[in-house]
Amino acid sequence: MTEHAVQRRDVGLLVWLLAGGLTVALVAGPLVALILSSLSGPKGMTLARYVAAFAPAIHRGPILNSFVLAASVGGLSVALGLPIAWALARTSMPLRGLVRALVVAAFVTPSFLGAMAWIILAGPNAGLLNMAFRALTGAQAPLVNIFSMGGLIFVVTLSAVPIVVIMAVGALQALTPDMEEAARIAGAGPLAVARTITLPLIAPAILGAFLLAVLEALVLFGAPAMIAIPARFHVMTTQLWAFFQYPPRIEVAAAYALPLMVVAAGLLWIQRRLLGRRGYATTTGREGRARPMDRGPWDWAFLGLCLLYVTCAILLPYGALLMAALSKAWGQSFTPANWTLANFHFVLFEYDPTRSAIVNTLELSAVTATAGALLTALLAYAAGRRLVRGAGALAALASVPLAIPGIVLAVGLFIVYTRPPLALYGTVWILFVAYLTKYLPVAYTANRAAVFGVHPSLEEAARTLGGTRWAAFRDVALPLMRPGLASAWLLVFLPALRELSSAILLFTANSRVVSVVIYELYEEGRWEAVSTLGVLLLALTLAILAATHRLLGRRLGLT
Amino acid sequence: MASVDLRGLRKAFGSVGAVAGVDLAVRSSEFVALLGPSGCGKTTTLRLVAGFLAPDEGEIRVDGRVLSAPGRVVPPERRGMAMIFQSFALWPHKTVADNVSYGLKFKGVDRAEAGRRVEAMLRTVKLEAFADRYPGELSGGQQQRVALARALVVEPGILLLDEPLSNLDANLREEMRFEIRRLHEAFGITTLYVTHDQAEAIATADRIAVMHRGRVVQIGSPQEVYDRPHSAFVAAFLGRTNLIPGWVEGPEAFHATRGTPVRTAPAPAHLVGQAGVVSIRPHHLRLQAEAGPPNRFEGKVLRATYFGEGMDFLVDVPSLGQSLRVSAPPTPQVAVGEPVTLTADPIHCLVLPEE
Repeated sequence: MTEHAVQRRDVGLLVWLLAGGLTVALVAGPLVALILSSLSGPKGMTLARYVAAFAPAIHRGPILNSFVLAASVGGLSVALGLPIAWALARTSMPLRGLVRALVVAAFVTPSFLGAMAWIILAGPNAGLLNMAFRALTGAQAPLVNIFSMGGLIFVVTLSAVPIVVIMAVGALQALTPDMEEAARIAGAGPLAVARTITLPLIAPAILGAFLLAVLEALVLFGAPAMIAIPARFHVMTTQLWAFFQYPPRIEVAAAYALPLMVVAAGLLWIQRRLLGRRGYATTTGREGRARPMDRGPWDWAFLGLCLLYVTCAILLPYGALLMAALSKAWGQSFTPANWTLANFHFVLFEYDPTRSAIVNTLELSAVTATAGALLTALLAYAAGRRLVRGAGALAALASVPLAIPGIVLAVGLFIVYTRPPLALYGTVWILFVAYLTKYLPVAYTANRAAVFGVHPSLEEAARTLGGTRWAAFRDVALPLMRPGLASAWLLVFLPALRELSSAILLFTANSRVVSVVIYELYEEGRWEAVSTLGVLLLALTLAILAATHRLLGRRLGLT
Repeated sequence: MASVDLRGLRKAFGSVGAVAGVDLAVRSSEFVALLGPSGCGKTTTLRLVAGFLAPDEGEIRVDGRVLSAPGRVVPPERRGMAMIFQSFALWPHKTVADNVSYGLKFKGVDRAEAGRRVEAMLRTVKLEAFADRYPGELSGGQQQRVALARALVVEPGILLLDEPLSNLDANLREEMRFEIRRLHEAFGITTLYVTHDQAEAIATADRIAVMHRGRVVQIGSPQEVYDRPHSAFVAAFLGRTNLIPGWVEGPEAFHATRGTPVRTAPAPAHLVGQAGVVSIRPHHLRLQAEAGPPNRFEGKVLRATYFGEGMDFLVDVPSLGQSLRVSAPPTPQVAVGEPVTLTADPIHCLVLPEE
């Protein structure tokens, strides 16, 4: 064995120990803790926790509610998202660029802010739309009441539609227009083409998008907490949160959480199978070659639908939040006497919990993004170049957290890190661990794409010219992977800014983040401050997105 | 079979004129190739004929009936045409048989009859054993045959082909050329064939319409277009040639830019007294001085390339101020750097307009 080979194996071992050990600890730790805890009893293993979790009728109601919510959101998101995607990908509808941009904005808008805004708009008593309705008609009853299952379905659908649009646009663009034109010239009219050619071909993607929308509705915490709890009903995620309220019943929560995770994993598995089964969809393709089209009368109908959606998902909610943020008291009329910038001064400089939460959030997001991007780059490179044995298994493990709902992950982490050897609970580090675990998959995907994008021959060329493996990595692969690394960083940083569903169980007094503070202030009824924080969060998110849309836009399939 | 008549056809995308006034008459059962470099408007012309685009000006008639005029376009599904796409555009979710029978549904053919016709057509393209396969399970050549079968089974009046061979590898491409010509002779369908490959056009078409910058610049049989190009562009696009710029002194007298006289084939009268170019194909230049011919160019071999069937020489000719390409049989061993005298029969020195 040559000295060189020995050296390489040592480096490989180091990579394995570092990245591998970390990944195993991050992902396997909370899962094992969940399972053990749910089975633990005073005298060894028992199923008593499951009985406690699922026997009382009051705990079973939330399961039905979650099911109703998820199924409705899935169906409505497809009903709304598919025509919007069609309009974007297959028509010459005017304002397509604007609609695309606003769909992306809706995609990055946290659902708890959407819920907050719609409470301002459609709360039964003081909601702006209801007040306007009463003023116009003289009626006593409100027009709509957001504090209802219908209201919750509405708000969550608004935030799930972009998932369907993004996936359906991707599927439509991957379809060469030739296939549709071939059907036209074979004698099929436009509707027959859509029915016999286009829809069957994109059906797997649409079904996959439906499942993702269902999953999103199932694991969401923020919007249900803001709408369902005041409306006096629970869904599974808010019920999990309730188990953590005094007196906490952590083991019962673990038993309650596991089936939710199994369902989430099942949905994801089916969705992957649908997309993976490309058996017949791999014929030739110059992908999505855009062709000039003549404008038709249908374009205006599509535009009407798109405008309706962006009004409900973006224009009205953003307007409501901005208005509340700029008001002394949002319930009063929005006249100059009521205008103020004091809310911004208050949350940024005066009020200590918000100020420290902002600092915490920015630091936490940046540190998590950096650690996540580097760790997954290492994993992706090791797996892509087969540097160490078992790298593929590690890579698969890095994707597992996709199937762990944030609040379920939090239950697991809570169990692991409230006790030795690593009592992280009470520090900001437990949030770091939670975020890092939760966003491993998305960062890994970005980095894997980057590694795939660098053909091995580029590095081999460097090595034939005398470069070592390390030099080839440093001088060739790394510079070419830089866009992938950067998007991995952003794809962690942006959602980490607004993460709520795991933070809600893991924060303590000195480790609050913005999303948690928003929820607390909402419970206290300080809606001007909530709106102000929300506006700041959205402004930061959209500014980053606008500055980097060239990098991320292609990943979202919307440019 | 149907005849196709394009009259004054124009189509612009934004300010870019893709088709800038195309006139073309295709006779019934004729095979016409639209040949030109990418961006010359040939594909746009084909898509206008198919009815996927509406013309800005001009009209398209089939058997005298107007199918396309500005603002009035019979949609593709009611034009009685068939089309073969560069990507083949086979529907991956349908079997070979379902792909081929799809168009018959819309033609009011009953199922039993459709089954018979699909079977017969698959036999014709030698794919009868693959009826139940999916396109993704076929090779490129087999996919191409399915595309042909799907287009021909509906017995179209007109067949349109958009670069149908460019997704195939070189050997297959040559084979499919003959296959397409064979099927044309068997069915006699009026055919418009878009390609940028001159060898493909020459091998398949009855007539070639050479397109350049949105117009048809020359139309004729393959031999006419190759042997008697109307412009330097056509001469250079169809096969290799040497272009020598200069001045047309008289009907058979040409002066290259450096003053060297070239005796030429009779030039069209309207070119006399103007700047022009002389086109000499590489295989019309002789490497060894032969007695007699008036065109003699002294030069030196810059490069000699052996490629089996012949040799290719690049010869620097100071009196013309340029180098000429010469094709020769591989027998004469002329080394690089050796002086040679090129000769050319005036009959092969064609005078063409400057542009």
